[in-house]
Amino acid sequence: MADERRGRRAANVTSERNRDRVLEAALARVCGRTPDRVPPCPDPEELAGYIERRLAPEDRKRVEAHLAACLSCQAEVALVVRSAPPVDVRPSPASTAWWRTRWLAWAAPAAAAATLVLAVWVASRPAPSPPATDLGPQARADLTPEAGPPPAAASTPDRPAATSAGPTPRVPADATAARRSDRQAAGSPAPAPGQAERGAQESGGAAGERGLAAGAPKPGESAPAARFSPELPDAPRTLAATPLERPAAGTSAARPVAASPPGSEGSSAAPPGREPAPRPAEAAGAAAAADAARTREEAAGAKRVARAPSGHVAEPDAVAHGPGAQPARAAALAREQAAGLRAGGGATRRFASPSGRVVWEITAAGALRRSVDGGVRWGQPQAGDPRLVAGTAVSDTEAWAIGREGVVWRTSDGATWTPVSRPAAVDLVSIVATSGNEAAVTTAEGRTFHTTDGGRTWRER
Amino acid sequence: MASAPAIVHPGDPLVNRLYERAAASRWGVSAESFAAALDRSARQALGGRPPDPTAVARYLESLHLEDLALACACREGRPEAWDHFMTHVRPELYRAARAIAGDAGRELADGLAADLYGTEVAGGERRSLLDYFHGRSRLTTWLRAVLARRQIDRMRAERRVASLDEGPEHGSDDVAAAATCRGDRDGSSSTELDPDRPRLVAMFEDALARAVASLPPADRLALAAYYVHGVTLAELARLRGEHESSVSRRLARLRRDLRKRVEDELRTRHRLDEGDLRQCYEDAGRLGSLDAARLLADR
Repeated sequence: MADERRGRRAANVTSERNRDRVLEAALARVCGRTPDRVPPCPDPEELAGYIERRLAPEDRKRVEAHLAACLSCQAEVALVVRSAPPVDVRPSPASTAWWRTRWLAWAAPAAAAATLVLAVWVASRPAPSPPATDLGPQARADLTPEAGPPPAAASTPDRPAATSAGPTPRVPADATAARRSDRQAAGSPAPAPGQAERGAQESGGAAGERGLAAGAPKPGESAPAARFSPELPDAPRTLAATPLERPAAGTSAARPVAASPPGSEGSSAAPPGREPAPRPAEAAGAAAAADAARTREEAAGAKRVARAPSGHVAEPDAVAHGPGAQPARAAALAREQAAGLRAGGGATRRFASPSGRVVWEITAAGALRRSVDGGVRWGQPQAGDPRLVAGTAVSDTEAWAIGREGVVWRTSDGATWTPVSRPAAVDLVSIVATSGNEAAVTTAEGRTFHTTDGGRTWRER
Repeated sequence: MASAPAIVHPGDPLVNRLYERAAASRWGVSAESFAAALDRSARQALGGRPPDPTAVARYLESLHLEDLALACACREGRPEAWDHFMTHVRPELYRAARAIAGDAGRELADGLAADLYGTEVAGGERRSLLDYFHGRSRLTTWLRAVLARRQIDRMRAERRVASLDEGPEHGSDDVAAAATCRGDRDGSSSTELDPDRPRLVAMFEDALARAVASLPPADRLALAAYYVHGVTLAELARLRGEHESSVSRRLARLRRDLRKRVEDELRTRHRLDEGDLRQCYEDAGRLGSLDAARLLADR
C-alpha cells in the first residue's frame, strides 16, 4: 500500500516535471512567433542605452515595449548582451544568504574553539585597573588599543574568499535540463550566431581568470612590491548582480565633486534624475555613515543585492609588511580590506603602506582619505573617482589606486591624489607596483600594461 | 528651410564644464566642435519636445562625455584620437565581432571599422558612422549594437532555400506541418498521427500565446530572451539590473502562472478533461524544439 502511494507520488512528480518541460518548449515556439521587424525600431544607440539602463524612464518603457514585440530587435539585444566583455563571475558574498555560505559548516567548531581560548585568556588576565582620569591626548593615544580599525571587518568571518558563497539559486535543474534536452531533441540545431563563440568565450573567460592569477606580474627584483591580485578562480561561475557594463545607478556612488580632474568622467555620470554629488565634507560624513551602515548590515547578515563593479574585485593576497609593521593591526586591516572588497561596489576600500602606519581609504563615493596612525584618525577626503575600487601602496607616501574603465590614480606625497593616463578603457583587475613610478596593471581581458613614468605612458606587454 | 535654433550654445558655463570633464582638448577638439556635438545629441534625444533647460542639463550631464569627445575627434580625423581608438577600442570591436558572428566576425568588424573611419566628401566634410554616436551609451556598447544589427540583417538576407527533398517549408505557426516535418521524438511515422493531435496542440499553443500576450512587456522580453534567444540567467540578470536568483525565481513564477492559466482555459473554455489534458501535453511534447538560429533566416 505504501509502495503504491509512493509510486503514485513519483508518477505525479514525473508528470509535473514533464508538463513543465513541455510548457517550456511551447514557450519557445510561441515566443518565437513574434513578428520579425516592427518598425520603427530603435537605433543602435538607443538599444545600447537600454542595455546599459541609461535611458530615461519613459524612453525605457517605449523601447521595452518594442523589444517585446519585435523578434529582430530581441535578437540584437541578445547578441549585444552575449558579446559583453567577461566580468567577474564570483558572487558577492553579501548577495548570498548567510545561511548558504559554506563557512557555516566549520563555524560551530571554530566558534567553540574560539570560546575556549577566550575563556582561558580572560581567566589568565590580571584584574582591571580603575578607570584613568583624562591625562591628555598623548596618553589617550597611548591607551588606544593596538587593533586599530573598528571591528566592522573583524566581525566578518574569515571565509575562504572565492568559495565562500554557496550555489546561487537557479532555475530548477530539471527545467534547465529540459530546455537543453529540448534543443538536443531537435537534432542539435546549429547554435545561434555567436552562441558557440559565447560558450568558448565563457570558458575562455574562466581561463582568462586563471591566466590573470597565474600571469599576474611578479614583484620587482629588489624592493618588495605592493601586490594586489585576483583570487584563483575556484569559485562557481555564477554571477552576482553585476549590471551590464557598469554598476547600476542604484548603488553607484554619487558622482565626483565638481573639482574632479579631467579623465575621471565617463560612465560614472549619473542618469537623469539622480541627486547631485555631495561636497567633500558631506562625503566624509556620508562615508562614515556608510561605514556604520555596512557594519550593521554585515552583523545582521542581511541579504542584499550587491552590485559588484564589473571586472574582478580582487582580494589582496598579501598586504605588504615592512619593518615596524604592527601585525595585529595589519591583519585586522587586511580582513577589513578583504571584506570591503568582497562587498563590492559601494563599500569602503582600504589599503595600507608596508609599515602599516599610513592607511588610505577609497570611500563609497570614490573619495580618497588618509590616516597616518594606522586607521585611528582620518583626514579630510579628497575628491576622487567613483570608479576606483582598490589600491596599493609602496611606501608611506607613494600609492596607486585602480578601478573600472581603466582609471588609475596616484599619489607621491600620500596626501594629494591625481589621475594618470588610462592604459585602456577597460576594467582593471590587478596592479603590482614596485615604486611610485613603476607599476603594472592587468585588465579584465587579461592584458597587461606597464609604466615606468608614473602613469604618464603605458606600454602593453 | 531655416534650421532649428541650437539647444546647446558654446560658451555656456555648463558646456564649458562638460568640455573640461570630457578632456576633449587632449584630442584637439575645440570647445565649439564639442558644443555642436552636445547640441546634436540633445536634439536627437529630446526630439521635437520643447527644450526645458533643466531636462537638457540633466540629459547632458548623463552623457558619456569622454567617449563623445573621442568620437568627435575621430570624426574630425585627428591622428591622436585614431591612435587611441586603434589601441584601445579596435581590439574590443574585433573581440565583440567574433563573439557575435563567429568566423564571419572579422569581416563584420572590418566593414564597421571602415565605416567608422569614414570618407571625405565634397567640401572637405568627413562623413562617418560616428556621426550617429551621441554619447548616450558607451562607445563600445554602441559598437556592439551596430555589429549586432548588421549581423541580424546579414542573416535575414541569407535566407535558406528549402530543398524539394526536405518537403514543404513550414512557418513556425503551422503547427500541423511542424508536427509532420520535424518528426516525432520517438521516430514514429507521420502517417500514423492521431487526427486530434493538431487540434489539441493548436489549442494548447493558442491558450499559451494568449496568456503570454497578456504579460507586461518586461516579462515577455525576459521569456523571449531566455527561451528563444538563449540568453543565460546571468546575462538576463545584468540586463534587468537584478540578481540572478531574482531572475530565476521570476521565470519560475511566470512559468507556473502561465501553466495554470493555460490549463484553466483548456478545462473551462475547451472543456477538456484530465485525460484530454494529458493527451494535450503528450502531443505538444512530441513537437520538435525551436531552432533559434533558423528563426530569422526563415522569415
